[in-house]
Amino acid sequence: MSKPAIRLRGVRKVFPGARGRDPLVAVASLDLDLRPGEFFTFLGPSGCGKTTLLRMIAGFEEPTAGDIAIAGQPMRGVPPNRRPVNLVFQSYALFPHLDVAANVGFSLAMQGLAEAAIADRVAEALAMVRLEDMEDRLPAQLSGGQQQRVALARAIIGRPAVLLLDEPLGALDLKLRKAMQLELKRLQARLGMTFVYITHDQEEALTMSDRVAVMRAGVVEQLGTPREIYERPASRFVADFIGESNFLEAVVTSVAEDHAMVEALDGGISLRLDPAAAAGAATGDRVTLTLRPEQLDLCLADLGYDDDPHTADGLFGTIEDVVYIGTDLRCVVRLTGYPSPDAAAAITRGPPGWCACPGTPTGPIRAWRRARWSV
Amino acid sequence: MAAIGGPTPSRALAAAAPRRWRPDAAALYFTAFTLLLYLPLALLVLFSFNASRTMAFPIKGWTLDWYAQAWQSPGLRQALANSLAVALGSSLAATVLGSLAAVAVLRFRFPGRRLLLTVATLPLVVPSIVLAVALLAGATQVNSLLAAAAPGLESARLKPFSLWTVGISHVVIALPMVILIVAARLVGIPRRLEEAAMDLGCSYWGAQRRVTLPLARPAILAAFLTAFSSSFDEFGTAFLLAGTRQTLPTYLYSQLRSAYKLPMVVAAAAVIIVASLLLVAATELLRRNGETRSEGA
Ligand SMILES: Nc1ncnc2c1ncn2[C@@H]1O[C@H](COP(=O)(O)OP(=O)(O)O)[C@@H](O)[C@H]1O
Ligand SMILES: [Mg+2]
Repeated sequence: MSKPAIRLRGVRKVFPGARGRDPLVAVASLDLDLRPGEFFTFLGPSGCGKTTLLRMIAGFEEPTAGDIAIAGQPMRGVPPNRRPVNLVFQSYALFPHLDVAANVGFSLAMQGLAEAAIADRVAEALAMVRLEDMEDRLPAQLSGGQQQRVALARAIIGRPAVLLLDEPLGALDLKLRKAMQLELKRLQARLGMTFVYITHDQEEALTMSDRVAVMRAGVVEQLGTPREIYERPASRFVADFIGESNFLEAVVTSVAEDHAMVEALDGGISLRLDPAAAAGAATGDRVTLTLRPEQLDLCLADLGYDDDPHTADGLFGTIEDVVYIGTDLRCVVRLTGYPSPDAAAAITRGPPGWCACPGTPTGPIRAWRRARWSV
Repeated sequence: MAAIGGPTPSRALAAAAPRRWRPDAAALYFTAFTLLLYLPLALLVLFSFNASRTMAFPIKGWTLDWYAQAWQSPGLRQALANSLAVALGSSLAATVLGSLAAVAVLRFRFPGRRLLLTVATLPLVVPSIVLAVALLAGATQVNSLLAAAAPGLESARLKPFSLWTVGISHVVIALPMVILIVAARLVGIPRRLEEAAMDLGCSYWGAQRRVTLPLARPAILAAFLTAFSSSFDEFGTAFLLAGTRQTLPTYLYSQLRSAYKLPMVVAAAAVIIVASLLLVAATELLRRNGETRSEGA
């Protein structure tokens, strides 16, 4: 396999605490290899250290410990202007005194290219982000979306080995953001450039990335493809952060060849798990079951249900709330046998064409078979 | 000609603009205020064209003689040359030193950052007499050091009473204004612009030159003009420190003793007033230009 585009080894960043405060660990010992040409996303809530990590790769912060290599070259002590990466800033950071052409051509002018060559490359880069005939405008005369494209063109024009993007779509409205997501992905594929993307928006991460690293408080909680992260969250934090989830605390009561039995802590109900879901379980383990709304099959009590032994062990409840969200019905179900109101609600989706009113008792909410669990 | 006070007077004025004032009361107040401020100046300019030597109405006739007289006076010419030299030198020095200090305070972290700001802006409130005396003491110390370091080199001594010490005092007086004006602008230039420049291939100083300096240029020019005008009309330390030499303000003051010279002094003063107004207008224009430009930043 070829050299990693970026190699992080034990990368750590500790900020000295402000007067009287403890030092702040922004990034804690990260080991990671990013592949050349991949769209890699760091996903995590605000303040988890994403920007700090990106700034270390770009060269604006020195790691407290550990090493960063870009395209095989160690980066310790290398200033930002000598690193083969470019950064698209969270707030664009366009030069307000320079017009679009001068902004986009800035790095080429720094390299001392001839003016005619710069003009050609600027036109090419602007075409790539679909922003023609704007060369003479000042940044203040552009809309947010246009400024975003200028920032992008300015960063890719120098053909860096790696493009770093710090929440580049954060300031755009939803529709523009969606359009830009697809465009960014297309641009990345066309350039064959490694993109390192930062976002706190899980949907954005899932849409665009080849691989995602979910971060929490300076630590990578899970690394995987969007599918792996969504379908097999490694921790409750990941499951909670990505998509909507129901959680059920339970104890493993028995493990057999083809299934495991768990008992929900609150409800005292026994549930049967599939081998895939129960892999690695041992009797007596405390586990958290994670159930995506779309993994749950909801049926109504009065419609009757089959007595399949695999599914007879569902939960029962009463529909508390039904919200129409266009593609689905979003149902909140109050589970029978759960005293505490927090654990009582299960969020699920109704079957297509299904209609129910609050207060309707449900049949078993099935599909525990497809549940994921974690310790 | 008063140096401009706060860093951004136009903004302060705009922010302080009252919302619901009866327009007639406002107009009245503004008119009275302006009259009080500018009437004496207007009168001075008016009387500079007065054919009579006495400054009183009615005006007997119009003449440009006083201007011609002022222009031909060797003493006044020398004083003007001295003033221009001191103002140019001291304002250049103050602009360079003050701008660097502003960059240091705002862009770097080092112990005593706040202290530097306090110390550097202290001359704003120290009376010029105190400053002059302190400078005299300082000059003596410097001279004894110089004498120890290079005995026999008389020409390398800092004469306590000379245009040099006047110039140094003007640098000290102008520094706080320069620092405040430039710092006010630097605050509005986001650091990430410098980082973007470095990301795109600039060294640190390259980023300063290509991004920070152009964005701060109007403020630096405004600071220079402010320093220049404050030196040009400074009287206190010039009077105490210039020794046998004279700057324009001390020369005009000395001429006031003879009533015979009064009209010429008035004519010279009128020229200074008009020049000052133009300078202040240019400064303000520059600063506004700088403010609107940076709005997209
Ligand atoms: N220069 C700094 N000095 C001190 N603390 C910082 C600095 N930069 C970031 N931090 C802290 O480090 C943590 C991570 O910040 P950041 O990397 O910006 O998070 P994110 O981009 O994921 O929102 C935050 O708690 C932030 O307050
Ligand atoms: Mg951030």
